[in-house]
Amino acid sequence: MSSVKSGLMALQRLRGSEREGLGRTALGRTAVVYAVLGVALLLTCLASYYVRRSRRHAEHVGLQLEAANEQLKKATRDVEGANKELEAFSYSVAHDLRAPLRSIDGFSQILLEDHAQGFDEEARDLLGRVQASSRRMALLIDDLLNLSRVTRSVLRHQTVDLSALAREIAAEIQKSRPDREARFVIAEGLVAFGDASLLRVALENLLGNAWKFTSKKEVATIEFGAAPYEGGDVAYYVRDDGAGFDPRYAEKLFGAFQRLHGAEDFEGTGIGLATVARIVHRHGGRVWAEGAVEEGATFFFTLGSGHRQGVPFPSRKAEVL
Amino acid sequence: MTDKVILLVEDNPDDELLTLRALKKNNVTDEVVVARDGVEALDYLFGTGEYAGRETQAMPQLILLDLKLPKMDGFEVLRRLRAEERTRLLPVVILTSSREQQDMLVGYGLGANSYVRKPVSFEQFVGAVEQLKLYWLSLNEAPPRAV
Repeated sequence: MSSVKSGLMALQRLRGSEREGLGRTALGRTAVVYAVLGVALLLTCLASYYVRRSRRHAEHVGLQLEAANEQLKKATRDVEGANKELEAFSYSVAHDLRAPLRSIDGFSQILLEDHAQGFDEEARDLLGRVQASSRRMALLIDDLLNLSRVTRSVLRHQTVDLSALAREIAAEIQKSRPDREARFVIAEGLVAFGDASLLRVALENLLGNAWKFTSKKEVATIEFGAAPYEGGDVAYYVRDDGAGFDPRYAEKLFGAFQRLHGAEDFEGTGIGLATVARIVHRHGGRVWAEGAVEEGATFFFTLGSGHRQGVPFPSRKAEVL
Repeated sequence: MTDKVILLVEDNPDDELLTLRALKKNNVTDEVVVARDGVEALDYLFGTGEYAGRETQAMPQLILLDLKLPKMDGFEVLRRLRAEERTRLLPVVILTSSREQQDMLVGYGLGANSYVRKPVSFEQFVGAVEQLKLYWLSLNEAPPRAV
């Protein structure tokens, strides 16, 4: 019994020491390994959680970006669609509204020519008025088309020799009534940075207006020049010594269809200065007028600051298109 | 001399009447054939459709072409007649209401010889037709007929 007992005890000792040994060696190492593994696993989990979270976040942001992009694309498509519609509209205005006017004018003319004996003076006068109206409406249509073209056309900025442009326009205007005594004084070397064709339209309107509102003067002087403006900017101006206007209505001058003179005094559709204002605004500039009744008028405009530094305006991309 | 023909491609009957009158006022005695849409114009030129069997050796001296036409517009007419050997060199004057730059560019791009905008004033229109007559029917030397 005692040998069995001592044997068991020895075994227990052995096991105990084995256990201790194990605890100190293999078991401990395993535990450390497990602990390290655990920490690593934890870190991996954490890392992967964060990676996944940030990926989800990125995906979310990406999705948001994509959605924003889609929205932008849709808006662009909408604008393009609206522009196309506008273009189709102006096209049909140009084409379809003019056709009936040709008929009205043409058939009135034929009546006057072929059936003159059937009309007394009053009837002829009435037919003349019908014709005058159809021509006036044709003018209105053209001016409205110009206004809409000015609004929808893409700006292409370049250096524009305004002095040369003004001289060219003045020569064209003078050709229309060579008998009129009018002096154009055009300052040399005025250069701007802007859209050449739009600036031409603006100058045509301003110089054309000056020409029109000096038509009752025996000798007229029309001037194109530039003056220093606030912030080192330049204000270009067109000045005439014609009929002028009541300064109380200076603001009204630039609204479409606004006229300060009766049609019997000076012809016009009232769209010219609205067109000028739109061109100037599209260039980031300002336009204003000074004048008094029978003392002439001066129209000033600036073209934003871009032209001064030679830096294109935000619509620079347009140049590439 | 009587074989000279002007082809007027015009869908608006009022414009047709006014153009014929303007031609008459300018003593244009050439025969004027009127095509009321693009298809009819090509039928006349190529001797097809309702003009099947037309002697296509005889080509018009001048084509006055409106742009906005039913069935086939003026640009398409121009494109097709410029693509065809027989009609490639025919003088074509676009006569239209439109002043859209795009129309002018496309018109000239397709080989129009001239682009005239119809004025609203009939008097001015008669004047324009007179210029066209003087230039295209007398001053200008037409391309020699293909043999």
